[in-house]
Amino acid sequence: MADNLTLNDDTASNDTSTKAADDYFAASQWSLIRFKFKKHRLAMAGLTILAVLYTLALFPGFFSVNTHNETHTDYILMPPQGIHFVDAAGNFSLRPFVYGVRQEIDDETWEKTYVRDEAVRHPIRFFPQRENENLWGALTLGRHLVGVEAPGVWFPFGTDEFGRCLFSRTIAASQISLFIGIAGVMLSFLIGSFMGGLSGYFGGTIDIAIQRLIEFVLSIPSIPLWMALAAAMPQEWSSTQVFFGITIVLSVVGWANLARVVRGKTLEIREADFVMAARLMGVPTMQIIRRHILPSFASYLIVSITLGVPAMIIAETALSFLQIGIKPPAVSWGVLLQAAQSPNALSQSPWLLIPGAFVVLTVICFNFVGDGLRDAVDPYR
Amino acid sequence: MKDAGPQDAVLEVHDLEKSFGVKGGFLKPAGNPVKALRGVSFELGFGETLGLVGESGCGKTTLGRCVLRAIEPSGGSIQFASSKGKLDLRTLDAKSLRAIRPELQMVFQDPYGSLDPRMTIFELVSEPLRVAGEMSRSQMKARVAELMTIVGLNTGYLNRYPHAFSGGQRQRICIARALATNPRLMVCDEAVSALDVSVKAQILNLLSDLQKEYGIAYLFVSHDLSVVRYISHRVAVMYLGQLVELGTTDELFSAPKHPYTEALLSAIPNPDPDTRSPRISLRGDPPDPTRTSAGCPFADRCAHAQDICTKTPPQWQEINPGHHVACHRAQELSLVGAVT
Repeated sequence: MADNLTLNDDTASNDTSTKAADDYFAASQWSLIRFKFKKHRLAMAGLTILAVLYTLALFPGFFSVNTHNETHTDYILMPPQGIHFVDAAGNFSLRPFVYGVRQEIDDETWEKTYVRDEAVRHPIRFFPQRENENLWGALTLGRHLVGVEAPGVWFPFGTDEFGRCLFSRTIAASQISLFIGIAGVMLSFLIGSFMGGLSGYFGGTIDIAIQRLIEFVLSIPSIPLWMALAAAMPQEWSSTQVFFGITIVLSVVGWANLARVVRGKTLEIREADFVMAARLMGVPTMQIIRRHILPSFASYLIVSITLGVPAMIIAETALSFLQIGIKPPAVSWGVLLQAAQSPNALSQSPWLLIPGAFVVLTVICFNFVGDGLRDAVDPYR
Repeated sequence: MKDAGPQDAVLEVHDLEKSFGVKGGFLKPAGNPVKALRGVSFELGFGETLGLVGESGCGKTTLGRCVLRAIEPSGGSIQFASSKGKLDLRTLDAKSLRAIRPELQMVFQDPYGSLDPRMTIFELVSEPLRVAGEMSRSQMKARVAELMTIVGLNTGYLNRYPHAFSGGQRQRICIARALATNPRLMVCDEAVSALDVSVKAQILNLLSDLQKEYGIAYLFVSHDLSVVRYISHRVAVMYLGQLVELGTTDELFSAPKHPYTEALLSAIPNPDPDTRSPRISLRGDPPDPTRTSAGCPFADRCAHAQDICTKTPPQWQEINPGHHVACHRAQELSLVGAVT
């Protein structure tokens, strides 16, 4: 070709690239997002904590220390038991242990109190000899990961009014609470991307109709709407049916925001130059949607989904707390928090609020991860 | 060198029209349609460059896109001399249009927006080949490598993504992609407007070299008169969806016949500080594209307007061989061209 192409022009500037630069230039959008996400410390911390929480939720029987529905009538509303490495005499033991507990009745007030019995020590072991429930995820071991040998007891978060281990219940409850968030968002995502896609792709009357519907859904106060929908669920439904019912209830409200994101993105990408370029190259419409349009907003959808999960978790907790969501004996964090409804219970046994701390932790982690993702997929920051 | 008019046209556009509907709102009645193109006719020869200039909103981009059926024209005809014979692009059905797409290509203004950021350079450049479906993967690889060499890019960059490239390099990638299927016609929509001056010159040289080598015809849409003057054989001036003047570059720039062309030319910056050329500033704003005037659309901003201009629309007349103009007073006015 002509001489001007061999000139030292802008095309030569990358010739002295190192291996690292080469990796960067050949990095796909997803690897770029990963690079950037990894630099976001809060998001990485959030992701780690979420990974731990979800692992616990996957194998509640294995990670709990007691059977979550077992009642210990001798230990009703007992405060959390601390772990010790050093005993009263100052002897250090590498294996942590808990002290035994004795119930005493106060001579004057006739109140029950729990007194630490320093004569009895229960060492904490891996895979202790202890009864385990047949909950899915207890693995074939039929053992807890850690715990004390029977007949000793260890209640890391204390017990509730029926003497059930709050720690084991919190972990068992995380299964429903964490997965209802994901299930709800997935269903919202299906409805939302379908409606939003229709709205954005076709425009016109369909768009106007769907947008007004979204505004209507968003304008209804959510708690009364949930209550109405939850009340419509038959009483005789099993826990599983209720779980799916609640998921649907949450999604019926939750899809609207996602639909807006999808519509906006579809409108934007439909007009992008590279889509027109593809059209002018004669790329068939379905291929344009699959190869160009969908991938270009997948990252934004993932951000919306991530930020949508905590809203679902909070909604489920609220519903269950109000006794219109998940019902006992199924447990979710909201169900556990029901026990903390009376001010009396709260002042006497504040540890009943621990499941609430898990809700807060999960929501914060999801928000950090969502923030990190949003920063990572946004090329202009 | 630059001949007066094409003997053998690759593209003949007749009375092309495009109007965009102005949609009504909830409590707002629908407005008059925006007439973006009001009967545009021109021809483009094989291996020729036709520059298309005009102010913002005059319809030059719409014209470029209508020619390729990127947007649907409302009327007129677009005769294209394809390898399968002469076809009217305007009435072609979707399937035949797709079959002819490889011969029609477009280079966009924004080299950042016109490359899908999720595809590697190989995927981007090979996409038109993949769609045409006539090549094996190894053939495609060879062809893409060849194209990269042609546009002056390192073939080692094929597995990189667009974010690794500068604006000028991206525009080279766009050109390589447009070139992949040996097009006969390329619409360059402000193809160098987003680039800085030195890169602009390289891309313009690349385009004219490609034209000499492969005989591609360019419809070169730009608002930058210096660029158009540099690359075009002929130039068409557009005002409010109509052509007001069309002539060879030399003639149009040295002896414009339309007052609007004169005003545009006077806006070219003069690099010589000693010769100060008179600057013609137009009064008023570009007129409302939804309205149709009885006379010349330019009359209300024209310094030379007379009674006839506001009453009768001017004819598209050939004032010199190959030099067309739509002005009542084209014969009598002596207008100033651009400084050379």
